[in-house]
Amino acid sequence: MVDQTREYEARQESDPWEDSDWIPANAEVLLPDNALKHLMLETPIAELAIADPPRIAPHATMQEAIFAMRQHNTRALLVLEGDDLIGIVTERDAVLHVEPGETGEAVRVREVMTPSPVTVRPDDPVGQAAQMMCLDGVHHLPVVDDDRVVGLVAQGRVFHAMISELRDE
Amino acid sequence: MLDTPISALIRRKVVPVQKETPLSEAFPLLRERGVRCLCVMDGQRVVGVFTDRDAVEKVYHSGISGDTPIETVMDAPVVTVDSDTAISEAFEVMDKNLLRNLPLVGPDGRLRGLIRSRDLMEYVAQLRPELVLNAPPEATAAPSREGA
Repeated sequence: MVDQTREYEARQESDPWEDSDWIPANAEVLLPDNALKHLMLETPIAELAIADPPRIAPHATMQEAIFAMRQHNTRALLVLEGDDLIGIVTERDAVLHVEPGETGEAVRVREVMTPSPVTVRPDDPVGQAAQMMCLDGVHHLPVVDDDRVVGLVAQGRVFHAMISELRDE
Repeated sequence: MLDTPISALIRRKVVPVQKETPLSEAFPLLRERGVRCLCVMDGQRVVGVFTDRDAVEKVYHSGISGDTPIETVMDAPVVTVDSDTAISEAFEVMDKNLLRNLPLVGPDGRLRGLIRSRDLMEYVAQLRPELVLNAPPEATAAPSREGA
């Protein structure tokens, strides 16, 4: 645990996205720095998604989920049973179901996850993801291609894309 | 339209808590008020925010008890903007500082409200529906679960 804490602190010090809502620190960001300036909201959502989103099993505990969120510096984990996406669990679920002073070890991910999450396809435009985020009130959309999870897009990336679009006008 | 004061976009009531508030009292506010961000106050002044993120990052794994005052684990110093700030400028502040929540303060330094990145996204969707495909302006106001 000590090593994990140290690793976490080291990452926090070096990570310019510290406390960021946007993307995991270790995410493979698929866009070069200046590409967002030319982004249109018709762009396929896959270009804003992280390619290998953190995942967790439904029988895992919330303690494990919370650790994974910290380790990956992400706010959401995809819940997979085998290769099947069966839910999404977020830091909101932790706050809703784990008391301060507790660790979450008594709570299973399956009990608190959002089952059958809203998903997007890789070719869906960024604008559509923005719309879904506003309508459904979700911050994360799994990207699914032929029933296979291929990515995860966070609200922050979409927000950034919208700002970039407006800024260029 | 982007030079409209950001205060025009306030959609929900801000939930302030005093900095001495124990976590055991603060967490029920996050749940029952359906918010992801509490504004932590020292009297009338905003001194920090506490979000779901801070709970995951600082509370659960650390052995911190429910008696702990929220100021111990809040996110501070806090970035705020004047409630008269133009929407376009608030956009930039949130983008530059990677913020999901932005407290608004009045000229007297008092807390006026809280803007979420989602509020700005909804505003853009209303202002420029062609940017957000298939999104008629009235359709963007539907409230729903603040999860996922």
